[in-house]
Amino acid sequence: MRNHVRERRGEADLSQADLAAAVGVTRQTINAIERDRYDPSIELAFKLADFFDCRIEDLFDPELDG
Amino acid sequence: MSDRGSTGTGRLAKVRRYRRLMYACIGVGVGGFIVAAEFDYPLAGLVVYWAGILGSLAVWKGTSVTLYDERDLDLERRASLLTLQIAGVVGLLAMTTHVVVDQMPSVDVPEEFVGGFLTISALFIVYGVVYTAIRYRR
Repeated sequence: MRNHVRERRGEADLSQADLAAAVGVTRQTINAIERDRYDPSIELAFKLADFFDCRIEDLFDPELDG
Repeated sequence: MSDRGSTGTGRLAKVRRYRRLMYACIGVGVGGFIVAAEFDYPLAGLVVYWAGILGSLAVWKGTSVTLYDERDLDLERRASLLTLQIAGVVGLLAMTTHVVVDQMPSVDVPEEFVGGFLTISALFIVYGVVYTAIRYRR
């Protein structure tokens, strides 16, 4: 599943470690999500969307998969 | 406990420090056991071993930073599944080989081979019990 976490994080001028701390995961998990190597749980997806103040659909796009 | 006040890099350094501490505890425990057993003090080695394991658990549970998260669990699940699949293939091959070799009058099946086969079988029995228990709880 493709996502826009890296772009959103860049716009917010945050490091992966900052974002990881904010949503309670490790930096490696944020890195894996940004590289489309890990699809987060619903709970984490909600936390990320809440953090960036957007909808989950704005952050994750299953249509772009592949 | 919360670590929200820390900056990302500060938190990252903490994560690394605590992870290293956890691995060090396990290393000291395992290394201590091996050394103590080598010098014929196996009970003292066991004490060191358990101190290392409990120390590692204390670091893991005692810190406010996230050392392991949902991705680590996902990796563990995948690794466990793959391990079980490999064990399944090895078990099937071992069973087939055992039956074929057992039919040959001039060949004796080594006890180690039978022991290995029984171990894999026991692993699958445990898996079946755990799977059933989890399924009924969900």
